[in-house]
Formats: sequence, C-alpha cells, structure tokens
Amino acid sequence: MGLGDVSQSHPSEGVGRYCLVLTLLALLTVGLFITSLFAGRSAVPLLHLFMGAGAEDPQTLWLIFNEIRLPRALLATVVGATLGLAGAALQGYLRNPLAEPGLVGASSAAAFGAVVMLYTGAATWFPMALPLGGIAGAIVGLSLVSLLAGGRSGALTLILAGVAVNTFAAALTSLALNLAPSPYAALEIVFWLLGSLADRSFEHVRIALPFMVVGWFLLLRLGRALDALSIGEEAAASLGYSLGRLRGLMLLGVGLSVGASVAVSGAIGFIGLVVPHLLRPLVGHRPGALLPASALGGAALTLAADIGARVLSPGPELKLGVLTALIGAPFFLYLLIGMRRANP
Amino acid sequence: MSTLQANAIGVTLGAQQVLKHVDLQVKAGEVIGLLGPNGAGKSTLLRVMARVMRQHGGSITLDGADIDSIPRQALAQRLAYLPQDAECHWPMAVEQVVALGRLPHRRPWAPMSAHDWDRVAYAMAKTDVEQFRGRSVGALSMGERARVLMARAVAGEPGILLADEPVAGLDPAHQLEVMAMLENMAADGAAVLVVLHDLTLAARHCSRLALLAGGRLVASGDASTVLSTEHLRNCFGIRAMSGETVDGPFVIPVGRVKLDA
Repeated sequence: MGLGDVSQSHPSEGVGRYCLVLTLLALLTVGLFITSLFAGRSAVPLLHLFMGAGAEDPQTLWLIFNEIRLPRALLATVVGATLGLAGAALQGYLRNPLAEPGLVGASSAAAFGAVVMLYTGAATWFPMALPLGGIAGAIVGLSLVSLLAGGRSGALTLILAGVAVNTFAAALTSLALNLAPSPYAALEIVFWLLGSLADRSFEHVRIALPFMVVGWFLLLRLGRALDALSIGEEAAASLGYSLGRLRGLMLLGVGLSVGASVAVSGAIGFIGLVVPHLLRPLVGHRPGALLPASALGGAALTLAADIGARVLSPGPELKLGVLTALIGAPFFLYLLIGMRRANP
Repeated sequence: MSTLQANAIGVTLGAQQVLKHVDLQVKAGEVIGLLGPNGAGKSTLLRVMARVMRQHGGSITLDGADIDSIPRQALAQRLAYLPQDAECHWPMAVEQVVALGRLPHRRPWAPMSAHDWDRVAYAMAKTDVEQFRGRSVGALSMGERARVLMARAVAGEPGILLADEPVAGLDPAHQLEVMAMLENMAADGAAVLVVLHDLTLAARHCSRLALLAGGRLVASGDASTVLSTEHLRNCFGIRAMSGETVDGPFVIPVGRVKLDA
C-alpha cells in the first residue's frame, strides 16, 4: 500500500534511499516481533519448546505461546503502527510537528468512549462495543480539537485545544470512576487506562484489527493530499484536493484506527510524537513519504517498549503506557526547547 | 488554448462587499496584469477564478463551460494558482516541492514518469532554481523560495496561470526574468493573469491591464488607458512620472495626492 509514496522520489537518488529506510524499518519490526515472542518471565522454557528439550509440559508452553505471547506481540505491532501512522498523518495535516493522537485529545477521548462501554457493561454482552466506543470517542475528540484549533493555527492553539479536550475527557473518565459500583471495577478501569498489552487475547486482535485496517487504508491514501498541503491550503485546493473531504477522511482514518487501538490497549502516549519526528529527516521531510515509514517505526518502537515493560522491572510488570510516557514526556520537552531556540 | 472568464463576480465577506459585479476575461496568449491598491479585491478575484474560494454572485467559465462542472483534478491539470504568501511548511528538497506541481497529472499510486521529471527540470530551469535542486527550501531566502513555488506552478504545464504577486520579494533581475517567463508562457499558448504592484513591470510586460479599486473593475485595456493620470490619482492616490524609452514605457510614482472627500 505504501508503494505509491515512493513515487515522488527522484529516479536518480530518492527511491533507493527511501526503499532502504523502509526495508530496514521492516526488518527491525520483524526482529523485535520475534524477540517479543520469546521475551518475558518464561523466556528459557519457550526456547525449549522449539529445541525439544526441558522438563516443562510442551502443551502448557504452546498455550503460553499461542494464547499470551502471540496476541501480545501482534497487538503491539498493530497498535504501534496505528500510533505512528496517525501521528505522522496528524502532523502532516496540521503542519505541526507537535501533533500526536495523545496530545490532540484523540486518545483520551477514545479512552473515555471505551470506559463508558466497560462501565455500562455493554462490552461484556457485545465485544464490538469496546472498539466502537473508542472510535466514537476519538472522532468526537478530534472534531472538537479541529474546530477549536483549525487547520492554520499555530502550535500553541493546537496544544491548548488538545489540553482542553484532554482535560474534559479525563474529567468525564474520573466521573465514571467516581461512580463506579465497586472499588475493584474502578481499579480495573484505572489499570486499563494506564495502557498495557498484558493479558490480551486473540479476541482483542479480532475486534480491533478490522477497524484499524480500514483506518490505515484511509490514512495511507491521503499521502499525496498531505504533500500538497505542505505548500498551503489554497495551493493544495488548486492542485485538485478538496479540503473538506481531506478533513473528513483524516478524522475518520485517525478516529477508526486510534479509537480501536486505544479501546484494546488503553492510552499509550508519545509513540505518535517521537516516531515521526525521528524518521522525518530520513525520508526527506515529505509528509506522504513519512506515513508508511512512521507506521513501521511505530510498530518497532511499541514492540521494543513492550519488551522493556516485561523485562526491565524486577517487581510487577511495568505498564506500557507508563513506560512510553516516561520516555516520551522528556522527549516532548526537548522538542519544545528546540522550537523555542528556533523562534525565541 | 483556453479562455477563463469571470462574469459579474460578487463576493461579500462579513459586512463588506469585496467584489462588485466584476467581469474579466483571460485568453490564451495574453498576460493580463491585475492592478489596484491594497484591499481592492485583487487576491479575492484570483481565488475565485482559481476556484479555491466561492463567489456569492456571478459565474466563472472555462472555454464556455461553468467551472463548477469541471472535476477538480481535470481543472487542476489546466489551471495553476500561485497564492500570495509563499510558504512551505516542511524543509523538503527544492526538487520535491517543484514536483508537487505534477500531482494533478499523476494517476493514483503511479510514480513520477520521465515526462514528469522533464517538466520539473524545465520549470526549475525557467525560474533559475536548478542550482538549489537538492537543497532544503527552509535554507533558501524569501525570493529564492518564491521562485521555487513559481516553478511548482509552472511544472504543471498549465493552460491558465493565476499568479498573486509572483515578483514580490524578488531582486530586479529575477523580477525581469519572471516577467519574461510569463510572457514566454503566453507566447506558448497559456493564458496568464498576474497581480502586480510594480506599474512599470505591468506596463512593459503585460499585453493588457485591468484595474480594480474598491471591489469594482475601474478600467481595462492597454497601459496608456489604464495607467492614465486620472486613474493613478483616483485609484492609487499618486502622481507619477511616465514616458517611453527604447525598452518600453515606464511609470514611476513621484508623489502622494490627497483626494478631496
């Protein structure tokens, strides 16, 4: 799907370099995916499974592998790809390197949508309610931010609009916690909100993946329109792109993919901020070229962070969202300081 | 061979009527210079004619067909619009920015063809930005960036070019080069409408001039008609020295004229 985005690179130089970047990112993702399958508390026994040695019951090991490790690695891959892709797409659309699903309020609004589904019990009798709640939340949150900040506004307006939507969504989520029927239910929601891929099953992959794939497809198709938008809205319109349609597809694409991924993983922040920022210079700064690269980079970084969440702490497993925030928040500050130096 | 025609265009922004019943025709082979003081409605007229903004009254036709009936991409293949504020939000390579002009000509997912790259190279040569090919637009001066964005518009081989102050911020040599390029494009069969503030450049390089003031088309025709003493005084509030040289006419503003209320 990403092949079309190679298309603007000059035959003499760009294509080779761009393909190399994509290939390396793909190899990195595959490598981390395999590592993720074997990393964790029972690392050695799982290796035994493939080497045919060890004392453990092979059936138990297969069960761990199939029911725990494989869905977890798959979810890390698709959730990470979603966050990387959505971050790159939002940055291209808003022409702002600080845009990110978490910062612009999509993640927290999606989290609230999913909490409503968990809280009302809708998710128990109809599993699809969880991603649908997340998607609805994400689309409402994004629409609010884009109404508040618009397409031409500066970084400050965008962040303020994001803060407003984040605060409101967090307040509504707190209200849900406040009214939770039992402390256990509240604790469950809190842990879920922290963002994690632990204890997920193929059921989670099954309910979220279809929405994510549709969202990815919509976003990857926007590559050229985002390229055109880099020379301004009017120039993009004169190149044949409808700004209204672009905005609608953008909201739908980010809403579907981020909404579904937050619904199964909780809020995992900063992946969508860090990954496009690191990869942008490698693909020549063109927004369309950044989309597939950022999707692969997001998958790789999330897989790596999830491996870290499992092996770094000697005590209870770290929550993935906590770990990405610990890395991402200082990175965000670093970006802000860099921007302040550029325009004091 | 294209003719773009604005018929009785009216635009209201808020309480203000920005354009009032404006008629303007741009034919293949012509460079029309659109003149007028700040706030006269020049940019608005260009936006409406490029269909990036909607008029409230009147219609735009392209070769007799209502411009609204032409699909977006088909229109973009024929008409290029260069907005006033030269901007590029990401520090992309110059060549990549110019290549954006080929977007309307490319099929979905199709890579840039050899012909596409030929047109990019041609546009870069015409605007004298070849030497910046691989450089980042972020590292260029304002005038250099303006020429890169001009190259972007030229790369699409437009039958109609609408350019809003393309020589603003350019040094005199490049102003002359851009005007010569517009004349060449017209000689090759393009219809060119260009907003200018330099009256001498307009008098010398445009086949016809149109003067907007207060949202109305005040005059249109050759330079001597449009740049008359009376129009310069009433529309611009200036006195000017004008004359002929072997290279063509010149018009130099020499003083402000206070208009009686």
